[in-house]
Amino acid sequence: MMKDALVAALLRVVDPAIVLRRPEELMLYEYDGSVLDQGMPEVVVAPRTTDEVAACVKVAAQLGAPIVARGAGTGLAGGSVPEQGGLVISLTRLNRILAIDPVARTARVQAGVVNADLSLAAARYGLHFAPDPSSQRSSTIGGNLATNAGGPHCLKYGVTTNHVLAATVVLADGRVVEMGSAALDAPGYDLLGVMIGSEGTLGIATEALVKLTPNPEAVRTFLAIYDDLDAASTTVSAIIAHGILPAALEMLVGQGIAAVEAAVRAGYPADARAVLLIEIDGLSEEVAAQAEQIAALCRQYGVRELRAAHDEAQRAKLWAGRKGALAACARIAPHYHIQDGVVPRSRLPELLRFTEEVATRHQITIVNIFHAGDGNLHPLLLFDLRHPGALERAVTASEEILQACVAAGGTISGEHGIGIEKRDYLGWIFGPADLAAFADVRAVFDPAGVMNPCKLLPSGSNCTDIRRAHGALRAVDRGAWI
Amino acid sequence: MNVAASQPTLQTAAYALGDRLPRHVAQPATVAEMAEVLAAASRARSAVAPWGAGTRQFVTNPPTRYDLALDLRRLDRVIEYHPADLVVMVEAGISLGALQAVLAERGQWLPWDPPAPATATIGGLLATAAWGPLRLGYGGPRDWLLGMQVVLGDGRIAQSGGRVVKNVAGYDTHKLHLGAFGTLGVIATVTFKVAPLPERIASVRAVFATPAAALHAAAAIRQPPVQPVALAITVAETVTLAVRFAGVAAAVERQLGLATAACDRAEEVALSVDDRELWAVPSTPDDALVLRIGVPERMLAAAVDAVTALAPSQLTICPGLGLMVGRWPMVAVTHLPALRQTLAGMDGYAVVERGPAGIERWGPPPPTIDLMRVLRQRWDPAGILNPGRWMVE
Repeated sequence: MMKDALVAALLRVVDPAIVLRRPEELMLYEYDGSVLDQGMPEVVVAPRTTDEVAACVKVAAQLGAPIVARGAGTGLAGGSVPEQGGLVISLTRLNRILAIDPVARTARVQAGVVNADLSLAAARYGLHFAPDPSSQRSSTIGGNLATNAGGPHCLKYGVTTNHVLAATVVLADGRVVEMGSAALDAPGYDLLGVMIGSEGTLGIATEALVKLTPNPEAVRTFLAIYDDLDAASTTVSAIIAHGILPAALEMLVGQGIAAVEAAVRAGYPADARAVLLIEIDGLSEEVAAQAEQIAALCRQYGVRELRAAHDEAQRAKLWAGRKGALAACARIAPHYHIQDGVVPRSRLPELLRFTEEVATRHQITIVNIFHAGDGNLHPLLLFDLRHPGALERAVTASEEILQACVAAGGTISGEHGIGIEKRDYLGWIFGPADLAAFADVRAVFDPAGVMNPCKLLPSGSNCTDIRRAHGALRAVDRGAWI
Repeated sequence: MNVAASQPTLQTAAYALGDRLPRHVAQPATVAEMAEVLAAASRARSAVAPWGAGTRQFVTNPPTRYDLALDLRRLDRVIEYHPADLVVMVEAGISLGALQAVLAERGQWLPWDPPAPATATIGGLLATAAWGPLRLGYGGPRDWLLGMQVVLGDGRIAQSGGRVVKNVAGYDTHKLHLGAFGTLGVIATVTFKVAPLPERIASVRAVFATPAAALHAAAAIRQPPVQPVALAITVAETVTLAVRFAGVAAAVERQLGLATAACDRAEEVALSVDDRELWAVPSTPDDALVLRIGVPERMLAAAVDAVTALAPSQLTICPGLGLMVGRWPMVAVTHLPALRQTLAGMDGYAVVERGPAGIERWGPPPPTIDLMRVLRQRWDPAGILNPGRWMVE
């Protein structure tokens, strides 16, 4: 039996203390933050060094066992779910910040370091790690690399791939290599560029050399309150079209505002149709000029009220509302499904109108809480599984919205990843030749197909026993963020 | 497309690489034609050199085999431009100069200033990883690239990325083609995000007694709140630091003042409001050995010392990026192994961008060279793309 062979082989090469195999231990690794997917690993290891990770990969690969890397498990597409069983490698014990270099503005960190902990440690030098996914108080740098994580501030500062110089990677055969370099443009193909965002299918990063960004001189945060949805989304398009690049430009629509207010008391008016959370940063002169332009545009497009945060406490409160929004929506309905489509910014008004139409047509509550400045929509479909047909309606509505994003020239995932959930949608945006080229890359890194098998690419003949279950939705809990 | 039919009208002499001439020249007008050419070349095992404006063919060795020049300059269209979304999609044969002109009409630009003539094509600049000093403030082309369509060595047309600013669907395979010298595939179309032109751009220029003094001032000028978009120290008969700022006029004004103050040890300081001339591409004497040197940022001063200690050097140093371009007299080529050894101790490298025939261009290969080779075999199984011009062979 695979499990016995795998356990025996692991125990020969690593400290038994890092090998977890009792059912109650394994159950914790059955899920990630996604709602559609689950799978029970046969064994979990929690290594403390790169060498231990490499040793585990080597023996699992020799046995042909699926190998799934996992950080904090906050992923939203099933990327770290051991759908095919096999070995889960939990990287959370690799949690040391190895070095911070304030002159070069870089940090060398292990994969299990929590995103927010890095920024906290860099704060004494006036620096921070720019990618800030809403899960940043839990999610790890390794997971951020695997999913090429974004976050509200990536509008101005870019996503994870723009902030990584190098990584130590365990390849599918257990070999440890360095990809990228502290020196820019070192000779060779940009393997690191394709590794980032590969969701554990090309290798496992155990360390990374990341860039740190100086904290801005000035920050201003506004809450723009609207009675009309089109007015809010048109304001977003106008800000971008006027060449203003806010640090963040977030939008909350409809029932979500009241839910957030009830849960977080962030000061969002419960009766608003839509709110924009707008943050600008930079040099004080830039911020002053942009603040004026933004206020003028908000007024031009019919804002009801524009509030400014006057101190750090008020700013933190406005952000608490945004970052706690998904959990707050548990007040509306017990189950959720979340989308992650992207559209060109100028198409936001029509996509938001379409989302409302879909909600009405399928009699389902849809709350939109999203990164408006990037055109990255997060429709949150809320329902109660106990109501017959609710799940089917949610899945249909979700697919319709995603198809509309694609039709508008957009894409199927802005930041959550493909994982299990969207692998069969990849054909909506890529043709057979494109997918074949992706498969080539995978075959180069992992000829035996053991690294996170059947994820990220459409399920093909190698993945016949996939247990894709539309019946595995979970209740909204406080462990999920968007 | 009929390659032979187009041949009589085209001068193969214009496509010389080293002492080799191609037997044919193809100028496809569509991506589909380009794919036909490459598929046919792959079947016939004809060696292909992709060709833009030919301005950077010198940065690597001539090919070891050369049958066909694939000239992409007829693929020069702007396919889509959405100013309101700050996104543009172009064919790879368009020149950077032409693209910037289209963007400027709508008050936008691609903040990318590689040291190449305005005729240099987007595809060629990306394939040779061309960058310029603005990389300090805006990042490099890798950071502005949203998606790409590529014709692989076997004629397959493959795309990755997309047309929106945020996208994690599929592998970011487009990044593999940056700096790959066309050895994995030929770039056909490219989608970029673009930026609004800054309200004001201006520079400070200061002359220093030594490179160390200039580096010291550059470090001070990188301290917040000062955020230069470009920094370059040229070391020739004199040592000159150029600092560029862009943005809201009042912010640029304040930073010019702060930068000037940080140059208090300079022998001479000048403000430059129309600074295009200052940042214009210096002409490179053809008889020089040109090295691109990269080190971790904190090793930059030590690397400058190492280069200048070995041979009389002209340098363009980019503080904040850990990069410099060094010019040595050709006879100094014998010092290259010693330089590479010193730089390796700093986790750095030296690549020869212009040098004598047969020189080792790249230095020691990275530890992942085996993966790179396998990837090349997958996408160019007949080995027809720029054979002998890249480190994987």
